[in-house]
Amino acid sequence: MRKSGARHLAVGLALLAATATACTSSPAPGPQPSGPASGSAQTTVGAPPAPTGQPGVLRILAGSELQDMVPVLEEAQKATGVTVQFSWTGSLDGADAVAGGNADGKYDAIWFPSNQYLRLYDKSKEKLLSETPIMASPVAFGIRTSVLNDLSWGDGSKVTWGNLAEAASAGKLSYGMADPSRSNSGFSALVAVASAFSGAGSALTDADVQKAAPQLKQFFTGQKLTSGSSGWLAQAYTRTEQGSIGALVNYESVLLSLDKTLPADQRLTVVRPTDGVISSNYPLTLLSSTPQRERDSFQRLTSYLLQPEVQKRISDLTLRRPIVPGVAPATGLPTDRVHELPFPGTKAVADGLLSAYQNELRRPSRTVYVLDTSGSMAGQRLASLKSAMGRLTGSDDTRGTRRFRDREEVTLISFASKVKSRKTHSVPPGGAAQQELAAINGDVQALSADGGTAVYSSLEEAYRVIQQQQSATKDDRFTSIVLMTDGESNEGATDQDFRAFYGGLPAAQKSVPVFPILFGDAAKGQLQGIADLTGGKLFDGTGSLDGAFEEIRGYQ
Amino acid sequence: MKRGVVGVLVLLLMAGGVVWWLVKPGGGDTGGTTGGTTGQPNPTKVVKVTGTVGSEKKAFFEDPKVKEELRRQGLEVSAQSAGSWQMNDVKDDAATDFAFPASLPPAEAIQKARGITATPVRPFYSPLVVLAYKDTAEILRNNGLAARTDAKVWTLTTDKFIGALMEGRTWEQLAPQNRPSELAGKIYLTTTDPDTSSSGALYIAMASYLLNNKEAVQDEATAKRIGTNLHEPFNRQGGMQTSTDQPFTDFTSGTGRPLVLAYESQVLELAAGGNMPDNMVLLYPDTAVISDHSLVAFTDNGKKLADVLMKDDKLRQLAVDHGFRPAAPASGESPFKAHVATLNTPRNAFAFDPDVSHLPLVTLPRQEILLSLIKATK
Repeated sequence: MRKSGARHLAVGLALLAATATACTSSPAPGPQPSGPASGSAQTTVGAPPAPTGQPGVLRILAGSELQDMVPVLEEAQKATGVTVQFSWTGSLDGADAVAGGNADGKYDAIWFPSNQYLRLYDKSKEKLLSETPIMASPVAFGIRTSVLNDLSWGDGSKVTWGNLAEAASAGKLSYGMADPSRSNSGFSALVAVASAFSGAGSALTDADVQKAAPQLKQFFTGQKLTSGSSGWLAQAYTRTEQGSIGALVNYESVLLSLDKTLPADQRLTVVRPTDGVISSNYPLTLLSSTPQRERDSFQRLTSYLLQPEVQKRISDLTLRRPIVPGVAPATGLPTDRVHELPFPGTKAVADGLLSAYQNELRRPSRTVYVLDTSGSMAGQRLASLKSAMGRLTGSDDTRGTRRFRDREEVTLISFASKVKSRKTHSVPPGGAAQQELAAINGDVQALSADGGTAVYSSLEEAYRVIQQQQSATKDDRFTSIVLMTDGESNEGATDQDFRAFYGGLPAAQKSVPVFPILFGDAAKGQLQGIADLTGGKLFDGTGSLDGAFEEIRGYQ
Repeated sequence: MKRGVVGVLVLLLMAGGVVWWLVKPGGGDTGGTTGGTTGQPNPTKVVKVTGTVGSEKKAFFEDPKVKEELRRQGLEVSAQSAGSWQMNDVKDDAATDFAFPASLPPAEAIQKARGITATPVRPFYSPLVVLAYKDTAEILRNNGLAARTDAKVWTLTTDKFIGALMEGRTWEQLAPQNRPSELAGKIYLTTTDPDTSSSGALYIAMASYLLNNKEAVQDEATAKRIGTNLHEPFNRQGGMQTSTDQPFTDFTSGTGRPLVLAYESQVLELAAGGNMPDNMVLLYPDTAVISDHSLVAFTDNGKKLADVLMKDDKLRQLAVDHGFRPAAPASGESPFKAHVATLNTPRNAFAFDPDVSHLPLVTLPRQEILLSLIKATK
């Protein structure tokens, strides 16, 4: 599979238990990404899974949303003798891997919230043998109850996508949503809202997307947070001061689970817009490349998961809806009927919608890269950095997972003992984008390595740059800093200095997260401290720097 | 149904002129554990038979009673569910003995790909039906698109329905007021992907039959013309799932669409388990499409499975319990009819015509023409 973005977590039974503990002890109960930042010892970026299966072991490439199923799979192991070995990745990255043949022989099965995007690949029909839905959950809006009251939306049962767009453009509703180019929850929400606004009443076409664009732009003015994983969104929601993020887009099950852990003033009301939602049915899917022995294991596992008492257990544990008729859903799950919208029928329409989202519909980004070009970076490390940054300027990216987006403002700061260079590029919309992307790549390829490592001073410079840019343009952007370093800060400002500096920043800059990338001999403690302080997230680039740079795109 | 007969009992059956031996599992002096291989006609000879089956037959093959009866016949069947039109794509690791798609056209395609000429065995069949909530069905009825017989059976008025579908009538037009909130936009039927699944393909066969003056499409030019006309109405549903259990479970778990194409057997299985929601109905198209579950045997063991499914009374009864209509009923009353009589309620009745003989049936086009229709439609 593609190196980028995939996080493999091999779990034997003992490790299953370890992961389960990690999940339940973390602040957010929903999907917890087991990415490098979570500190999970079993996680490595880009490491391949076991080359061949073992008897009774089923190797499953799965969406990180499924981590809450780990306790059920432990029980399944006891009942069926089938041990599940998970590798986690995003839904759409997983689809790419399967359609590209990169899952053949490496995995026996896949398990994502939905196979809808994967099915749009012609190749998928020969790759997937058997799909068994296990549970269901619609993608919904979790709105802070105080915000719901301010908007006079009662219990939320009559809210439409139109209401949400109006509130967003009036500045009364800000929300976080996962990147639709990576995450099925974000994609489902995007499809639902585009369908609702197009008024088509049937599956979206390119013309429908065009028609819905003005209202979609309104709706997305309210999106203040983006992320590659839903776990980080939940943390950001609880972190931000009262009211600054008023809602989250996620699976009903994740929102209900999160709500159970929140203090009274942060409680959420789950709203399923009356003009339509898209639900996931979590199909456990056998790959056609899988040999007979594993097919039998797959069958034992699926039969187990569909037993009524197991379905009840799943619903109580995860707050997803049971799929087996006659099994009562967990307490608190709504049972009313909501309009279920069609999913696009062709990959061209789906990718066109994603591309429109990234390049036209969403708020543009302001992205500052703080890149270590000290002496220790010379040679292979600098080459890796140039390659990873260069990939973000390519055009081979149909649904906008990587490349700098139209309207994005990209600043490159290279540093060693002090800031060496600073260059800002604005990617224009439309056909002119290519030229600017090439210019960014030119700057990246011109980087050279020498000198010491002044991490904190260079970060302070990045915040000052953002301050200048914000006051010059007075615009409204997703703003973030990426910090890539291969060593410990040994010159300039100290950790304490930076904390004091950050503490004194006005709100507009204080809300800008830093996403540090661990590389070479970087000091993990320093970088984790920076991520924690600024509300960012640490990424591990030691396995694949390309992968780390690409994964961060979901947060920018 | 009688089960758990104690003692060794040998039944001699006449079925299609073939003498059939069936041995009830032992207790008493034979001393084996039940459910094991003791009491077999030849206990050392339980052979493993593997194959692919349509998802609608998965529950049947996983039923412990079915497994037990097959085992008694010397067969341990491992059945993987797959879309009927996907079965040809399954990598053949020399381990499969049979494929059991949901209808004849994919069975013929599998035979063609493997150079098999024997007629596929069709042990049971089901009509295709449409799932809906009762208030949705009432809206269709108010507009003449559905009806209800004196026996409380819902029917889909296919001529009118296909007309409304082709015109792009909307739910808002059909029910300007008091409409359930999930009904919005143009009407369409939710099906499976006809490239992978038999039921989706049979829906296209049905629509093309109705649009071709109730004749099977015979030639490529007509297939292309009708498929092109069907393109927009069919694709309103957007992305489709690959096997029939998926839209079915979406519907029953409350995350489905208003009108879902399904097999009668799926609904009967639900009802037999006491799990049919009160507000759910099934509509029988008044021009029926029959899904002939067709088993293609690749090996002798596959043939043996086909034989027992055709001839073993107990397996036939178990198929009925799972909602299927057994082919070629033996003399006397159909076990299916008796089964359905136990499921009918005053609110909702099944099995419009247990023998189907009185229903006008869709004639299926030849396999190549069906594939051309699907291609033009998608």
